[in-house]
Amino acid sequence: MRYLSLLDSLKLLEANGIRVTKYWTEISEDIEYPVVVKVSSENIIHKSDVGGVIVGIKDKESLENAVSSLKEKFPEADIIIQKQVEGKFLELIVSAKRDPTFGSFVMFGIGGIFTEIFKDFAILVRGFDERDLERAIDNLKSKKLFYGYRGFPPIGLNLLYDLLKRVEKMLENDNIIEIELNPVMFKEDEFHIVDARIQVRG
Amino acid sequence: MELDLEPIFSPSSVAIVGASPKREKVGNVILENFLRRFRGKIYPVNPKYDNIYGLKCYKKVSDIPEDVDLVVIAIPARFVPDVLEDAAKKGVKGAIIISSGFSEVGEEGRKLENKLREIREKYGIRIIGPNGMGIYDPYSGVDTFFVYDDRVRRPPKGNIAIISQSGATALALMEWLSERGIGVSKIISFGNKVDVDEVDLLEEFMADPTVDAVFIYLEGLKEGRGYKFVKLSKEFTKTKTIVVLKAGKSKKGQEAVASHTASMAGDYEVYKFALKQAGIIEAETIDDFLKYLQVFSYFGKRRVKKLLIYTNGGGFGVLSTDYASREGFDLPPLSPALRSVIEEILPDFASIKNPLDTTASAPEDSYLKGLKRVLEFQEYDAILSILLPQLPSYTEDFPRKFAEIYDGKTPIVFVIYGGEFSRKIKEELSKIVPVFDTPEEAIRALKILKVR
Repeated sequence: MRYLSLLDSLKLLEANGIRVTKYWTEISEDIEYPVVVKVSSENIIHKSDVGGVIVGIKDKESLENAVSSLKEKFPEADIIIQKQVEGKFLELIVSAKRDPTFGSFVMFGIGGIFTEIFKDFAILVRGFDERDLERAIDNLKSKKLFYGYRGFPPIGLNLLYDLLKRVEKMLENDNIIEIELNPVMFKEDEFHIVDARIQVRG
Repeated sequence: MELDLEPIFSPSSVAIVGASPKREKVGNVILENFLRRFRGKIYPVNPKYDNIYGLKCYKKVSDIPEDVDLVVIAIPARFVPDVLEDAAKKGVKGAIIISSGFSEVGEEGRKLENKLREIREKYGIRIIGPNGMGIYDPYSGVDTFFVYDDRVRRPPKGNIAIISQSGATALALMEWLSERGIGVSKIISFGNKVDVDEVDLLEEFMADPTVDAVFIYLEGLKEGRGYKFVKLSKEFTKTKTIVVLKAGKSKKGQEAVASHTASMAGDYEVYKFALKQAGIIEAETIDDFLKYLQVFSYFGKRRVKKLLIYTNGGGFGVLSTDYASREGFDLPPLSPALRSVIEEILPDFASIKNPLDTTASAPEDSYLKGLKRVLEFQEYDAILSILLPQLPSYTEDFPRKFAEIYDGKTPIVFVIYGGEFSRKIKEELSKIVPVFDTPEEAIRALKILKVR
């Protein structure tokens, strides 16, 4: 078992019809600032912990500096330049995993750096429908956040449902063991997948 | 479609392999059970005897000249595959295997169990077990629980089916139920479940008019059966109730996990959410499991959202309110019409809200009269009645007087706490409605009726 690099993970998601946040693999003129620069390698699972993420880059000069400093620090790794997501979003974790009893399940809940602090999540096993998703949200402590709260937009439940179904479907590929998207930044009519970890066989 | 389970649940003839006249033998208990309750034909099978209790005893199942629906096998594991195959060849369609010594004891046993699986595939015979207590079914008279009746009394006919992997748990539940006079449709303990499992049973019980609820003690489903279990349960729980007590919740050792998903979604968490998705009520503890059984046996199919707390003691009323709100019950006030009716009955300083506090100075008759009027108005889905029977105006006659006013339309549970005097009242009252010691217990028990 191994993890795909961030770059390979994003490509695999795209290949499965899942839109990810816009990214570039090299500095170019069409980059839309602000951006985040991330290191991408199979061997680096916790990018932030090793200083592999630089955020808030607003112009080309800072971008060049950031890219060269990461390349110097991680000579073996790839670099991803990602559009920085702005505005108010709900940060979710969305994942899918195989299960010996139920076949597979998806999980979603409050994501970002507080994922394991709040542990506010729900699991839906194979065969779930929209009604199951609604009920699962209603059982979360943070359910109010899903329907819009103090300036935070409500999240598009159909978008979340569609995303969950798509990540679950990816498990039809026998080589994929687990998919974890965290955070996925959710709004009413859009979401941004900014980080992904995919565990595969071999 | 699989062969149905009719030969197991309503056989008209049964062969008991290992039947014995010797008191201490498992095969003796089972034979006696069948003689006591089973109205079909009974064929003892044991090469050591020609005749047991006046019944002709056969050397093997295939020697029996007539058709046999069900074979019960209670002999050492190593002989079981041959006996099963002999029966299957004869055309027997159902088997209950009581014997232990299969996959639960290691490699040799696993091989034996695989043989059973092969025979099941080859002949289509359906199997309950091995390594369980089998089936107790008061409707069909099938009873393979190998404990004598005078040690563990059998529960009467009822509308609850119990499924338990564990034989010991099944036995404990049997005794608990019969002590309270709670009836069952059947109790099934299928041990290693080499063939028939929870999914098959739910399928069977869906169409069984004697089953309104299924209570399952679950260690784990068979690999890959979860999808079908959830799908079927979702359908099942539209009309009937399923309660699961899940064992094996603790994580075995803390492996270092790299993903949040792996660290948060352990095996038990997946089960927990899958049960919810399936419309199943999970009993968090064995204690809750028993309370749900109790309340279900009284009020089965009722659904509760609006609850009235009716009390003659302030403190327990307040506690009940706390627990009831925490568990999501609605506690609406009385309608003005009902309110004015109650005002006529109770003392001026009674608090006619929800909780409705008659206060300790309301005499027994007023307490009951008020309750009667509340019942008549049918504004609530259920009533939690708190009673301090120790008060001077209350009598040992309370249960009888209550029986007179109680129409059975609205579920009522009582909370009575106290010593010898109160216990007598409690005992009598619990013949009519469930009675609990504390408000928290009562509210937890009511959860099984809660609208989902």
